[in-house]
Amino acid sequence: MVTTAAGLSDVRVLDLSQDVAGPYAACLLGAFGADVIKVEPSGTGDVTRRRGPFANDEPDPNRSAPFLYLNRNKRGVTLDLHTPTGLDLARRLIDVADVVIDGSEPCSPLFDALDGQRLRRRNPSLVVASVTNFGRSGPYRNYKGGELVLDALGGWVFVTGEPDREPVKPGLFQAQYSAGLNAAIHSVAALNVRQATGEGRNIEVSVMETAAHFVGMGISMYSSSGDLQVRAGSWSAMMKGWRGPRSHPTEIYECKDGHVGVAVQTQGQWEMFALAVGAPELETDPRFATGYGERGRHAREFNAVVAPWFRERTRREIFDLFGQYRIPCGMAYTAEEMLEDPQHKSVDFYQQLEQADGSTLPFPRLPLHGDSLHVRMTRAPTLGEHNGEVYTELLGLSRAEMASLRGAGVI
Amino acid sequence: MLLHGIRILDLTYYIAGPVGTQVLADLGAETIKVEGPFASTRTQVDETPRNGSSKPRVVVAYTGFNHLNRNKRSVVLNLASDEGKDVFRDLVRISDLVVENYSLRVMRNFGFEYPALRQINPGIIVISMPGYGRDGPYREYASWGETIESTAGLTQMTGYEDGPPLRSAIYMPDPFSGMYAAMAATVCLNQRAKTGEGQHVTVSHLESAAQLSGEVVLDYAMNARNGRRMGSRHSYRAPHGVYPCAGEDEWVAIDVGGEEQWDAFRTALGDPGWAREPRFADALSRHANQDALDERIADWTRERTKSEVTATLQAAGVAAGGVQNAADLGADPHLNERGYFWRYAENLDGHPRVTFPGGRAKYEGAPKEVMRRTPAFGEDNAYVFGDLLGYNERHIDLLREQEVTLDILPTF
Repeated sequence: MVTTAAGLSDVRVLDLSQDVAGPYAACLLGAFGADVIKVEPSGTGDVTRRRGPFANDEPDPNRSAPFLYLNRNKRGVTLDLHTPTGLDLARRLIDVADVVIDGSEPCSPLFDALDGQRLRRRNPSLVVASVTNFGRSGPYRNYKGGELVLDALGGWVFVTGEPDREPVKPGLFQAQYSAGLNAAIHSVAALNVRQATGEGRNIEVSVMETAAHFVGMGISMYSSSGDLQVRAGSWSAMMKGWRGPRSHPTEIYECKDGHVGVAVQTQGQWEMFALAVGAPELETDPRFATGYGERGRHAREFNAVVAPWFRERTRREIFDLFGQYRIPCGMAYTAEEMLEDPQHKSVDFYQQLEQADGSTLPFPRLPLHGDSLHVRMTRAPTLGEHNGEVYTELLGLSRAEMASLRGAGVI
Repeated sequence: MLLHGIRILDLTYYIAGPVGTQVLADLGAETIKVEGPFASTRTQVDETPRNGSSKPRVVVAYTGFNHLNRNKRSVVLNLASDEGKDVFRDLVRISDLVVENYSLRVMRNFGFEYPALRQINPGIIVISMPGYGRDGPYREYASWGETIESTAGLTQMTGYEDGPPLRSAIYMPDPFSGMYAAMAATVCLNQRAKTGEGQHVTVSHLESAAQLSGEVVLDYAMNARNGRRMGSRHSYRAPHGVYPCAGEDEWVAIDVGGEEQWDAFRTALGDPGWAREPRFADALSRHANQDALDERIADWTRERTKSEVTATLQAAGVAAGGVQNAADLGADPHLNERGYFWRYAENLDGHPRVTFPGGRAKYEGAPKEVMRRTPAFGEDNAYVFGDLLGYNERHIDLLREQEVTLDILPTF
């Protein structure tokens, strides 16, 4: 009987990236079982080790929330790639890897050394995923930018916010996470080709371009009809100058203990909404009751009618009532509330993972469920935690060689 | 193309599912949309004003449908009929993946839950995308991306400091869970190459979106603190915001971190006196006094276009970028030089020319242009029934007579 590798456990990934996007890609490959070796600059480590929040708000490179989150499912080594010895060791690690996640920007001195074409001259079966802010070419390739600037240039900021106020950044680091997911999808697709042909591939993902995909429908609409998507608060998408009918309620309402998001889009959902909220005007007033889009044209008046109903009830009451009526509804949750949510609890969504310092922290499991799907979760490494096993066991360095590398600050 | 030779039966509709199969279709998988006889996956009330009329119209192939279904084929099949089920079974026999984003009961009612499909084809991979997964108290609740983003903790973190939670404007959980479905598909294909076995994976919409708020959950566990929206500001960097520029609804994003960048920023602004005031002397002070700081910066940006500000600051090594709208993106020199856009010569809905984002990654052998425009309703009936399944004319005529399939859209 032939034993087969569970998930990606026959795949070794070298994660040479830092910050959010590249590390998230490697984190996902690790979740499917790949042996991921994260290579961090000696001394300082990944930039996210210096970015908070930290446990107890005390800066500590081994207790940064973003680092711990984005670097699960990896082993960690340190290596100064800016020295010839360090770069040589990196090449030896690449020789025993199947996938390289490279986050070097075009302005980095490592950009050429880690270029996929070059790496694959040495190892043609390698899959090299380059994950950068703006891509490897083009006029913006040397631009500086974090999530805010990437979201802005990618077109996501313009449509986010109230019509009569300035545009606002979408919360958190969503474009960078998406670019990481994107790179992971394409890396596995490239591995699948390699299974059949033995040939590797260079993959190139840009965060700005990943963000622009999210406003792709607006781009195709503008190019076909000249209609420009503008900010619409929490309402459904709105075109510039449009005063006519549109679907409603797609809205976030204030209630007794916070806010709920509601999105009524089909006739069936509207009938259920009118029934659940039970205001007689909703059934009879022609501004609200007739026509698919009339409510949207009169959204403010509509909201004035239903606002008291929402304000008198808690989020939970509304969510469960709407759940029974099959009206799409969501509670504007804080972190604490997500952890307490009965849905998440019933499927053990947040899993407690013991950290190097002995504390236990909750991490979401992958959103994928399947009896035969091999997934795992291990904690992020401390800085240089696996230097010993990777350099001696994997590369066969002697203790003396290790000591000399350590002395020279290479590892 | 990375998924050349893979065949997908696409039973998805709205946004999340079609994004997932779009990722796979763009990679070269032969993606066959299996559409019901009522065309409910491609019709929508169009509210866009056209030719001076503001009346909503029921249209087919609306922009969103066109946008999400390029590079796919369309076959029409009534899965509620016994004959339609037989055809579907034949299709499952010759396919690699089935992707669906119905609510839980639909595949059950068709009799097409995974065990039944597996009996037909042990290698078949089935990806299901219900809002809340298959288990748990919310499993039968209805949801859209617009509501999931609240429960996933995203709206609480988006919006103005002084305002309510805010939606993302792009239904973020939809494309994000669609991408997770594509992730599941590639991993299952990898596994199948080793084992020969297919499998069933359920992608939870809510859990996908909640991957994006994991750091906030950690912050709570570490510090008993619930993160909160802060407009475009940052928890310790300043300036970090969106500033007005010359022109109507024109803005620029600026993000300055660290002393080196601050010095570069100050110099790029011509070393104004206010930038040397003690209240802006170090990162902590700048963050504490950012209301005043933002006013000074806005005075400078307001006199300039977003392109000028971006060029000036980026030349100085400072992170800045225009807040681009859809028109700006279509004309963006960077995206155009990189061949980001694909273009239709003629679109399904008669518009002469449409530009949209192309593939989601570059790789050797990636298509440079769209391979197939969005298919018309049932456009590939003949290909699927004849070429793929080898049905003869009589058989196909019978399917038409029994209304198992249609070749033209029903009228509304």
